[in-house]
Amino acid sequence: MLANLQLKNKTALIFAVLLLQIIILSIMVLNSYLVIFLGEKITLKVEPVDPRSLFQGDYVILNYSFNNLDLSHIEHDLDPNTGYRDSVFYMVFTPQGEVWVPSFVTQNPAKVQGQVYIKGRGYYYKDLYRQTLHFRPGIEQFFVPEGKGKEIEDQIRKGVVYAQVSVYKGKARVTGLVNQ
Amino acid sequence: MSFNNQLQRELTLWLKEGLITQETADTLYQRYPVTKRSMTQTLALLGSILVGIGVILFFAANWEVMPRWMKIAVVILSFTLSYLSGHYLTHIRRDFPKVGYALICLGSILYGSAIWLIAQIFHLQAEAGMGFMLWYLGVIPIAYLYGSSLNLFLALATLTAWFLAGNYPLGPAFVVFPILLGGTILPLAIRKKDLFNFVAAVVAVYLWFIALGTKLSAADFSLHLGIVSLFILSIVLYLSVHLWDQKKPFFAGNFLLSISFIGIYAALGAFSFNAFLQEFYLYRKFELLNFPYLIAGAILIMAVLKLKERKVSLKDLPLFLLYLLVFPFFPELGKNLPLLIFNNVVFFIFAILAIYYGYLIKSPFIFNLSMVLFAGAIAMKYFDFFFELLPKSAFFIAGGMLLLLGSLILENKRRSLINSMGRGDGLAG
Repeated sequence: MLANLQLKNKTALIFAVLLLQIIILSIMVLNSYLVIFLGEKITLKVEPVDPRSLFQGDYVILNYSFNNLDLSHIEHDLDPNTGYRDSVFYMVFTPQGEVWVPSFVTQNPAKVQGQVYIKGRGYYYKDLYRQTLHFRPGIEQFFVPEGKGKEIEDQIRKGVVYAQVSVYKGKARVTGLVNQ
Repeated sequence: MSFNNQLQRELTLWLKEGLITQETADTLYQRYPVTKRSMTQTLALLGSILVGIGVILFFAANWEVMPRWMKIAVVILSFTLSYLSGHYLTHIRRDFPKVGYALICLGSILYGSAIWLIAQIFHLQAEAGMGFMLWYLGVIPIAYLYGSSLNLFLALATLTAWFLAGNYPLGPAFVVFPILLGGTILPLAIRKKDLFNFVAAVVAVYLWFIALGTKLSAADFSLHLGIVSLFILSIVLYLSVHLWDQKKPFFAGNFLLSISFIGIYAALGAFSFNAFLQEFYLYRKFELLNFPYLIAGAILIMAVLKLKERKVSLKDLPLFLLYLLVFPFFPELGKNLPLLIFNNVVFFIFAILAIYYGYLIKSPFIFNLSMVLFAGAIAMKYFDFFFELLPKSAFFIAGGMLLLLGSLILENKRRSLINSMGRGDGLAG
């Protein structure tokens, strides 16, 4: 049992565990910095609301148009007769003026290579009136200083707010919010 | 003085005198590990937890005055220092093992706060994602390295939180969770004969069953299967608790006493809040709500008899309910500040005496229960009085540091403290 190790070995092991913890944290940092530095910078339109996370403080929830997307107006290769529950989707974005908008949705990663795309989970269904894709790529929150959530929310309600996002190999990270 | 205390003192002395080598001392230390939890250890653990919460809240505040890289550097440095100082106190200096283990626990909490800090910096929602899993992966080696119950519990809590917060579909997560639980948490709990973590792990299995049942029913599978499985699991839990130690009932024979302690706490605690006092006066005209006076009257008779026989001791803590008799002398309208202050003083005197009582009668169960209730009382009062007034992180960190400092002094003075309490062994182990 590890608890019975000699002192010298135990001291070495505590350094090993410390190293493991620092490696885990470094991977977290690198995983995000890689996306920010190497990724394509795109701008997406958002509508914010203001909740709070227990561990991470105040944040603004960002609602994107693609969170609830009507696929009848967008190119895709999904079968409307198949129910897609909690599945992985790849969404391609193309610039339309200064803002990037979704242009193609698929479950096949080979079809999106060489394009700006975001990978995320979601579900897709079709009823009498529309085909809806609920898509969550994990960039729906923006953390703000404590007590500033409301203030920022009020500011951004006055204008049209956009999220600046870095996208790299399907991963996306929000880098800022801007009024335009 | 307990055997563990005496052994530690003697080994330090023998080492200094060159009678034994470091290796022999290590072997002897590990042969007789400290197993019982003392007041010092509990205070130190509470202090660590408070500091940990304070640091998490500090970073959650997301203050702009500190650059991101500096925040990350500060938190990494904090948990490194916490682990190393804990290791130094428990394994090299050896004379502050309890504070040392509390610092190791603090290191694990601070490591968790680093995960949340990094997720915050990159605007990632860590709760629903991998945050808890990464916390678990960092903490479980510490639990094995030190055989630490608290780190084991932290590992169990983070693993369970990962599974529940992720709300995963039926798939790999439903297999990974029981494998990690059975492969890492349960073996250490069983090897250490750690009943608390064993029961907590079984509760985690319960939660897994519930999640499994929910997903299966959503996927049109039979819910009956889940219910039958839960029933079988309940029987296994019941049998395993009894097979664990037949000589020791689950509540260590103090079930009724514990219930009465909790009841008195609840009564005293309730009367220490102004809102409750107001309501109490408002509805006092209803006869049923006058029952505290009946209880107080009965206790008064008991107290008179006991005083007459001079038999009053700490075991008569319920006599504290006598204080209810002062109520009719206070004005009913407005904010009864003097009464409120009085009630709070009585509540905390009771809380501290209850801890001392558990310590005195050598009942770890009553002692720990009183500590938990005391911590609950502190938390209640914190939210009641200071929530709007102080920065939350500063309050927690200051409170935690004070407790850690207190436990350091207490551990240093333990011998004289035990002697002054007139005991030779028991909880201080």
